[in-house]
Amino acid sequence: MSAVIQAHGLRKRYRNTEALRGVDFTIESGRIVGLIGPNGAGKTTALKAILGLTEFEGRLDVLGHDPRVGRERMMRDVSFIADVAVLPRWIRVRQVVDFVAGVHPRFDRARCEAFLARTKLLQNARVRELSKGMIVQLHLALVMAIDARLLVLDEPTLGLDLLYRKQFYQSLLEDYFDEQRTILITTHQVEEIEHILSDVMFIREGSITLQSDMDSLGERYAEVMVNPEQGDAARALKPLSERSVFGRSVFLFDGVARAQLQTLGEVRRPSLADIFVASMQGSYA
Amino acid sequence: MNTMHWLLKREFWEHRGGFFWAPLWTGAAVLALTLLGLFAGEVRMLQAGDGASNSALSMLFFSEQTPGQIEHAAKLLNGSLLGVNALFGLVMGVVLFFYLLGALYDDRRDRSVLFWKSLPVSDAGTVISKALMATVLIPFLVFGLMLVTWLLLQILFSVFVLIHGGSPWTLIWGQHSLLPMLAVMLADLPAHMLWSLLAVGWLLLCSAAVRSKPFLWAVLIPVLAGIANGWIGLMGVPNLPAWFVWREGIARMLLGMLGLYGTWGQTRSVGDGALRSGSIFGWEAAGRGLGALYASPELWIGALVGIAMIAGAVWFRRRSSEA
Repeated sequence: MSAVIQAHGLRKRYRNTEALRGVDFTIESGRIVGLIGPNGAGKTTALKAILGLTEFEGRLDVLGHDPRVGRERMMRDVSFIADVAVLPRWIRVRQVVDFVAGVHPRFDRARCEAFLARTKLLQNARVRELSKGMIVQLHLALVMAIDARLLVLDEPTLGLDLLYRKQFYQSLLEDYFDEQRTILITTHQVEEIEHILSDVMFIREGSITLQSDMDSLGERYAEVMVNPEQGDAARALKPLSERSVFGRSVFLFDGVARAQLQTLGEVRRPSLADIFVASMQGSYA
Repeated sequence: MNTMHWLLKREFWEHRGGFFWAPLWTGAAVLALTLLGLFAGEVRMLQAGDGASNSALSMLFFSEQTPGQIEHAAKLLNGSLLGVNALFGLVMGVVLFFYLLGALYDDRRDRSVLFWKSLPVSDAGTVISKALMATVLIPFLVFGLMLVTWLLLQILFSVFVLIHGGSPWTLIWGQHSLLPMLAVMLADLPAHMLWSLLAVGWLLLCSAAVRSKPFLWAVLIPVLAGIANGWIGLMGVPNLPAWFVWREGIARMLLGMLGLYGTWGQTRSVGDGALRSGSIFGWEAAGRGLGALYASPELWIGALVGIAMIAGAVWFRRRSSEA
């Protein structure tokens, strides 16, 4: 396995805020990585740095390129979908397929047509006539037909209904992802991507607060359902968070031995959303 | 090279209304109005009896041509060529002005720049495709449509001459000034392109650099600079001559892509006198003016400044997805 992205001391300062404060991380090939953080934590800035869309300080290596120089060569191996509404509104379906086929050496037109055939998109339709969901179908068909090594998705399903969101991730997994490719996703809809992620990174106020693969996350964090009489014993183990459900308390622990927790009650694997909420407490305070 | 082909195609897809349909409708309007004029002339001639009218068009309605009328027809020929040319040049100028102001701004406003930047296309390629469109491709296309319109116009005249028993060959197609005139116009196209580079560069630079209201910036900055130059002069400090700043600088920066043949070079070099006396309609004077234009340092210096501004637009384009 080789590193697709390596960042060392990645730093970005806007006029009066520091969006990234010397971030280090490595993303290996063949992973699906979720970059998760509250609004304004620096997610989009990090993605923009990776895509060569912003200046930054520090070292960054994306597939052997420095994104600040020779960006157009790097973009042969990198695709991205930034938000749902960025396809030009005047363009027709046929035209955008022609254009990408014309300028992208790794674009497989037949593959794109096959994806489009599964949708209700008409070749002659203009993007402005399409619904948000259909625009995403078009964008995804274009991107999945590109034989890229890194795909970056920045809130790709924002504003879509549940059906389109499910279909989006399902297509990515079934028709696109393989061990040669790497996908980096940011989204606020943590529940929906949890099951497809292989790795997760939490970002908070410009720093990476957690970087882990999903398996070790399950070993490290545990959720215990505790009866009221054992509450104090549980609190003594310094849980990350506590909430009550039907008169019982649910504690989230970070790095406490499983055997110890089992004496308190039923131990479960916490959801990514619960871990996120617990570790981001006080973000907006 | 292949990428450039697709980039240019994209510009044409996006702006087909302005680049193709606007000149086409201009041509259609010219032909329709001329036809209406000819009919009106015909009707008036019938009402007034023969020989009552001696308007420029009237010689089309006689079967016998005097040498004076043939000479008159030559003027009509060149005049109609220059008139159609001016009209197309005006339409093209308006279309290009707004095209250039939006070229590197509209996609930033609707964020589709993020899609274009997700493809392996360099910022320089993108900017150059837009500059090529405005300096080379559209002037050639509009020039072609202008010539087609003018030819149709002459065919229309010929039909009227024939109806009245005259010879279209003597009056129109055999005029010896026709081919040299067309040659001079064609030779002027590169001069127009060089002349317009300053405006193309300036408008692209504004389009790439500003956060909002590119029109306001593009117009205000040169106008304020011109006023400042005048004010410096009022204070007695050495400044640039006003005519130079306003005509060679500001007017060219904002309106340089206006017009096709002769809009800038000929009226300057031949002089207003020639324009008034009508000798500019002759190809000899026009050719001399063209030679003087190519030899003038202003043409080349302005073009170089324009190219530098295009390079500036590339620099801004690279940073266009910040924040």
